[in-house]
Amino acid sequence: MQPITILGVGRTDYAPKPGVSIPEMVHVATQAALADAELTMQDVDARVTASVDLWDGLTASNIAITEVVGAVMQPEARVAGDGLLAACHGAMSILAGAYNVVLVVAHCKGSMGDSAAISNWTFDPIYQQPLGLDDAAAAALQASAFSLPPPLERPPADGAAAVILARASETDLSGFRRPERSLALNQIVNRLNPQLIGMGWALDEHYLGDRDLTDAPALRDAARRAFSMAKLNDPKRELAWAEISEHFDYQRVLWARALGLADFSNLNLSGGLARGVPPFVAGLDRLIEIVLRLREKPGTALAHGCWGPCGQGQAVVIADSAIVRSCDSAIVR
Amino acid sequence: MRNTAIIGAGQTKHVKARDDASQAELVRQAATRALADAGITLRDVDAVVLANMELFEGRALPEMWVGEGAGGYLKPTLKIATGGTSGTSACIAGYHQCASGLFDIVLVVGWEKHSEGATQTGMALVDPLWDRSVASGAVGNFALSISQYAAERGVTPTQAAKVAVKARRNAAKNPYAHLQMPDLTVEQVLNSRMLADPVHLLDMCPQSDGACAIVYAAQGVAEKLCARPAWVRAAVTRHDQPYIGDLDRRLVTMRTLRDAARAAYQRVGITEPLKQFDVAEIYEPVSYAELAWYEALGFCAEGDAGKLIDDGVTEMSGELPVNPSGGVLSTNPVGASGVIRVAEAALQVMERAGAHQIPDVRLALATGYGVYAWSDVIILSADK
Repeated sequence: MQPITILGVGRTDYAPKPGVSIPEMVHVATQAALADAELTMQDVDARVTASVDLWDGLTASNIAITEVVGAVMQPEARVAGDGLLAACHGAMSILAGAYNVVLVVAHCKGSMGDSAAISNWTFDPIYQQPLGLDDAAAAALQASAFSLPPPLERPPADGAAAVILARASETDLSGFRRPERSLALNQIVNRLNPQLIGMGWALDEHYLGDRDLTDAPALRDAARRAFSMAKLNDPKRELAWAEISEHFDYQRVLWARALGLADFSNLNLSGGLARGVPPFVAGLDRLIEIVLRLREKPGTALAHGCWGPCGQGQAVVIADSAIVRSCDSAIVR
Repeated sequence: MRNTAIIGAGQTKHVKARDDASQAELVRQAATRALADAGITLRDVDAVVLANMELFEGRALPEMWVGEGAGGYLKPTLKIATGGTSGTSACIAGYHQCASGLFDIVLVVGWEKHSEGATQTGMALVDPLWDRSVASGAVGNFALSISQYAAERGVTPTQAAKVAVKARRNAAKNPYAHLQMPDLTVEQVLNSRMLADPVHLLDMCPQSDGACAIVYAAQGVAEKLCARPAWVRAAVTRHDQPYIGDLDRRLVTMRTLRDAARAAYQRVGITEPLKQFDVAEIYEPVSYAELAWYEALGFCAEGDAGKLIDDGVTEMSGELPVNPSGGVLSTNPVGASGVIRVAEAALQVMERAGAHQIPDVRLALATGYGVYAWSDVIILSADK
């Protein structure tokens, strides 16, 4: 695939924020990403947001953030799922030629909702929901498949994360509507900006009884697609580091194995999700972690996001520190 | 951008309550029919895009459970949810996925099972600080905007009732449509129960259970699978302010639809939409909205929408048939309603619309409407 430049990243801190509204959180993350990319909202062609209505207590939860993501009289789509999935979709719309610059934003106010009640409503209403299953109970079942005790839940946290993606080639940059914008972007892309070079996502079985909970075929499938796109033949050797979404401690080993990264030493150098990262923000936060590191140190890195019971939904993004030299139209890897 | 076309469509029978089928089964039925229409199997599908308004059924991440019904297991699957535009936005997402070059065949499925939820309650779950205390669901906020629109543009209740009658008469030719009222009269609409002045019961769309699916294929694949693919020529989205009080005369200006249409028309070279389009499937949740959309879409001058319906221009036999399927006024499973608009427009181009087929369709328009004033515009053509 054509690489996609990751122009800017931004996020809030992650902690319960009783006095802060959802639009206020999203505004902070969005403005941070725009500032990081040295862009204004006028430079953004489209937005992909990620949120879940039941967590927000709002129907069409992107309505609440329309203004702060700059979507008034502009295109926006909401992916109901993890922010990394939204990033994949944003990248897809750039590859399609629909847009040149896409803002991806994920938010969740974990402290505002009842995780047990909300995640219980994720299970099918015929067989599993009446059993009282929720994310924690499902995780306990998965942990027990490894002969581990029920895992501890992360502390609830609120927050938002934002990433700005852009078409990488100068040819496309020159097609931008405003000359000064093209100039601004050229300046930015001459900075060391990582590129998204591979992505994959997939859905696992829903019924826990139909799954081998010690395996993660959807993650293996998503990783296979992402590695193939990024032309990685030996990820364990070729990846410099990886940031994965271990919503529970036991998942670190499970996800690493499915990614082919068992015993990989540079896993979650950021500390992972242990400090408390809101659900659905986590995957995009993982991407931000690898972007920040890639800006400092060349290499290829992996970001992982998952959502749903026992990680039923899985997404993988590969980024590297290639420098787009837009002045001479060459992509130097 | 790769040329991309719709090569198949399928839907369930839409009714008030599908007690015989779960949400996953509805999705399965629509997906299976779309795949059969495209002459392919699930193995041929590279990616799946879903659409549904989860809070109408009170669920979180329903695609976890329902996704398997669309064949999403171990496939790239994601769900788009943007209110009433969920279906058309999912169709645009599926189009982008196929046009990106990463996938050759993409399945899009939208569904809603209103009978399992409380839609008006879901619609009242708006901003808790400013809007929730005055939330009035679809009927109440439309009544406000319609009063303003009718006063400014001179549209009469009788003209709106003619739209409602047209929709239900057309729906009688569509075996999948929910409301089957072939003999409905203008007087019956005007005498139906007043919901919120000036909106009568029969001016409003129903709440339906149902699902609809389309199959996209990229150029090179599409022509091999379909004798007459419906090529996507333009797809544009515009969202607007989240607070109804911030919208300037919503139905009068309908600036999102106006701007999205302008952008889409520019891409395709549409300068006289009434003459150039052969058919339109537009998302009209209430009879008056169809009249307002005529103006926003440039089918007529501002203030002439009533004349358009009086003169029969948008009837099945008129210059530009609008909603030969019966439209949202006859069938409304919200997450699927936008997909139905695109599917019906594609069926017209593919010449597979059955009893409600319009002859010689080469250029078709589909629109989506949601929230207070969000719009999608999609143009399909028999030509690349």
